[in-house]
Amino acid sequence: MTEQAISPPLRQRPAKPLHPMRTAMHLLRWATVALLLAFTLIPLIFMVTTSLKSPIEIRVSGSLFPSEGIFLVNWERAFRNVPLPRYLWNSLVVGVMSTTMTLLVAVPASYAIVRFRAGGRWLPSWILGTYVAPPIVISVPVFMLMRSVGLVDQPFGLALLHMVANLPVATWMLMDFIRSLPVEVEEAAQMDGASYWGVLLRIVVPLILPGLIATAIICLILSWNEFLFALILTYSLRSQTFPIGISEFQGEHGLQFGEISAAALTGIVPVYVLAMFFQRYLIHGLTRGSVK
Amino acid sequence: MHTLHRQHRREILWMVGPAVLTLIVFSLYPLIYSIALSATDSQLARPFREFVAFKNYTDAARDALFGNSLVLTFIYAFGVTAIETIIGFGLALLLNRESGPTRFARTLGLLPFITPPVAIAAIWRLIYDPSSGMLNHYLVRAGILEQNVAFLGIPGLAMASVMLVDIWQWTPFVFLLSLAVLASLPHEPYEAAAVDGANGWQQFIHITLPMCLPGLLVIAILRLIGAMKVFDLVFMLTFGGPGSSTQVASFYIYKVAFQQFKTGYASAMTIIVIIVLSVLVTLLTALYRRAQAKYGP
Amino acid sequence: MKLNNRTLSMLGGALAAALTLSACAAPVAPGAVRQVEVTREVVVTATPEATTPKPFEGQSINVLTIQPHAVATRALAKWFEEETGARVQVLVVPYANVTEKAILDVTSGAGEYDVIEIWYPMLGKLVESGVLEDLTQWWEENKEALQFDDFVPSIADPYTLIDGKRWALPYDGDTHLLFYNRELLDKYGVKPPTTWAEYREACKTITEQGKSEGIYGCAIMGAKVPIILLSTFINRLQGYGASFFDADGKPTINSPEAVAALQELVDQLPYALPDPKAVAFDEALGGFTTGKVGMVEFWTDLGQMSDNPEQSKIIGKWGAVPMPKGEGPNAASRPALNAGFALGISTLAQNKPLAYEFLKFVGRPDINVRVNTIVGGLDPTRKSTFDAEPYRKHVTPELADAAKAALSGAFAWPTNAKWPEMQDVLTENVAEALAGTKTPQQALDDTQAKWLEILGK
Repeated sequence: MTEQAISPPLRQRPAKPLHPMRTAMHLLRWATVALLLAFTLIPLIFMVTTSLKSPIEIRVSGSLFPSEGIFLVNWERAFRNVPLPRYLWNSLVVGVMSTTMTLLVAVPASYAIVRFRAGGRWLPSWILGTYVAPPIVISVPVFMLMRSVGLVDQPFGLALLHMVANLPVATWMLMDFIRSLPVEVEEAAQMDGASYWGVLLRIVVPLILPGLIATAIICLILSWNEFLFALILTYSLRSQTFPIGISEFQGEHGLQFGEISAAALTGIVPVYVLAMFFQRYLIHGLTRGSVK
Repeated sequence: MHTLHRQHRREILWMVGPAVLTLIVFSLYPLIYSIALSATDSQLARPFREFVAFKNYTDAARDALFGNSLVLTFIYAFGVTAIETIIGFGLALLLNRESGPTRFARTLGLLPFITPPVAIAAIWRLIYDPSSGMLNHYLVRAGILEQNVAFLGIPGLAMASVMLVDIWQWTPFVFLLSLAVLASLPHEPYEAAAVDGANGWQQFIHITLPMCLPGLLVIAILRLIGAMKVFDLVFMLTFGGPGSSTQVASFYIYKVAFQQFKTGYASAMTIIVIIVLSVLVTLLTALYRRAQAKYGP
Repeated sequence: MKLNNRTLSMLGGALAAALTLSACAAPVAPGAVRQVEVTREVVVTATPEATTPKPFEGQSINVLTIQPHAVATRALAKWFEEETGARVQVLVVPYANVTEKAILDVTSGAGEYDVIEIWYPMLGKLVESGVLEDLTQWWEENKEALQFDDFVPSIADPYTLIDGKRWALPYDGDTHLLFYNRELLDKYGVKPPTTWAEYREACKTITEQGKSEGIYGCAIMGAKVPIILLSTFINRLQGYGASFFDADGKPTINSPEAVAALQELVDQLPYALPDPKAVAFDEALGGFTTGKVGMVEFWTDLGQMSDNPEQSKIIGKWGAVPMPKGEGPNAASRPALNAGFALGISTLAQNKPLAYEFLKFVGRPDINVRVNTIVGGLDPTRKSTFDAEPYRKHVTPELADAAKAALSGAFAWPTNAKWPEMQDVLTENVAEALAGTKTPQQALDDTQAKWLEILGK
């Protein structure tokens, strides 16, 4: 499906592509994109409309669109019953802290691993190896550890754990981006007497910017959505993050679907705006690549 | 670059030091703790109660539910990883160009990944709902289904339904990273190919795919490990049912550790999962190294 | 709280610490205590003795509660603050995680919680884990003043007693009734059942005629969550007069009565709202209140929800009857204590006197009435509350009587320290029987074998 959409099959190649053929390919390509986007967006549109349906219509009808008019009661209640802004603020603090720490640790480490074979084969494997452990059981000793240094129910404590959890993802992504850089530029800089750190900061980081930003977005979102550590390590509004806040929309015997939808959409917006903002950089990086 | 002066050595040490230190504190310690726990008859409130050597491991080997959960984990992880990688990379290829609509589509494609899993589970439960769900509503109307189907209530179908949610949630992860991989491709090979008169398809097969392969493998490995640890979707959509048809390993371990409070046994199963996954990851990284050696710069 | 700057700097390096400090200095939102949604019914009056010094002014405790009870516990916290001047921070967790949070808090030595909410079948495990203070003495001292004899007898001991000692205070008295949609039953010529066989027939009749219009005779909660699936199974188990243990404490879970009960459940599945294996609270509740389902076993507060115009299409069209009976020599209509919660004090409570004071407050008869007349997620634990006029008005007199009758003499789930593991084994096997991967006999034989192994240790 995918490959067809890119270009005609190889065997038909000797003849020049016919005009109708290209139009067809063009159509097919956009049809594929449209189909996948529909799959992506329909549940989200459903979320939007669910937040606007009356509580009873949510139960009665599976229709995508509200038929009994628009209700704002879910939105009003979502904000009244649960201190969403506070949860969002905590998530932002934890997310930014953990992403910053992750990159600060992962960028130099991945550079040293790729360029100087620091730790040989063993270090990258070990880093990836830490990612394989199911977090459930691990969370018990981690909790004990955090508790012994007074970091339970602290945003920094949660950020630290998110950093640890995301470090393997970040390191491995960055290693791949660094590896795809031509080494000559760096060597030239070193001839000019730049230190390793200087090369890393002045030459490597700007060159891998698209990858760096993609990694940052991923780390931010992983932290933003992380549930298990947040559940175990936080107690109160001092550090509870948005996913914990969302799980509050559970009444005596059921989920408040409308309110959850409203709350979730509230949380999606800031991250989406942030991601869109960074996408620009992603595209900048992309065009920079063509100049290089 | 090859003569490592003392100062350079120190520089390198400072580069990897923080990462190594972090990992020692936060992964080696819990790992050793878990290994120790797995050799004892521990409860959540009473760790290290009684030394039982390998009893927890032999119990795990005989535990049909654990065996079943491992099989389900493999089916789940390989299934979603394959589909997510194909769709995510494919979509990145289709949208890897500069135009207004592409840019717009590209940001929209990220949305599911940003949505909190609790909300994802809630909205998909509404979609799958057997009596008033959206999927039934439209499939019955369109005549595809004769009557409402309980997507999460029928063993095989429940697994597929949870996997579909995973695909919905995580394809954007693959998509975003694929875009970054594509963006980091050098342009010279394409220019050379264009001079040689290669068409788009040939360029894709002989340049794009090989050059993306290492990066794509990294993405797939990360995704595979992530999917092997899937917990929240199962927790919120099926709780392992119907029967034990969606009871993947991390959910089963969760039940043993936090519902039965048998942390010793849960640790043993965790260690087994870690070993199995480590073998798998070693194989995959070997594959990655070969791809890297063959196609890398 | 216990933020140690030096530790931080050592741990995270200068930059990380700087980040933290700036984060901590960030506005601690004014909503450090969450807003409580107090419903119309509650008239919060200023306490008359506002001038007298409040004994606990300036002190504070943390109370661990489950999400479904967040509104009630926060209301109690507010009233308690008004009366004593103390500050109560209500810490909310999902109901599925409450026990592990409590155990982890105490085992690790964190000691963040002063008062802990307990799902009563977990009581033995919590006691064994050293999480709970022994309240025996407190119980005896306050028995008279707080009229502990007024607690519904069938819940007082199961909720609080382990090995002859008291560990908790009853908080939320939960039991099931069989709710039915009068309009649907009339339409299809069916009467509210008194036996499980009648129930199955009634369900079948309605479903076979109504299915094409999306109407089903009954909704059965068969999702694989212990609190859900076992409630459903135990309702039938009690009807057939089966029990978990014999007089000597030996498991009897594969008795003929128990197997018959599970068989009956399996036989009912085809006629229920599809598919029982995926039906939890939400699906059952939604099906019933929107008028798609004829009958459902549910907690007593479904009455209130069915009369709430905002979520119900069946206002005034529903009724409730006691649990149906099974068949055989031991058949009986005996409800079970499904769900149900108590409050205890953590052994690591940092302000024990205040924690005791809070329990005393919650234990008061007038407070029990007051908290049960808001929509807060609780059900009464006291006989006097069922008879109190404000409560009867709040839920309708019929429902108050039905709930009271159901609660008295209800069957309590086991509460011993091994029960968490045992109930998980049972859940697993009942789920297999529902999925058809084991026969009822096989499922319960397997449970019996595993239970013997667990208890034999």
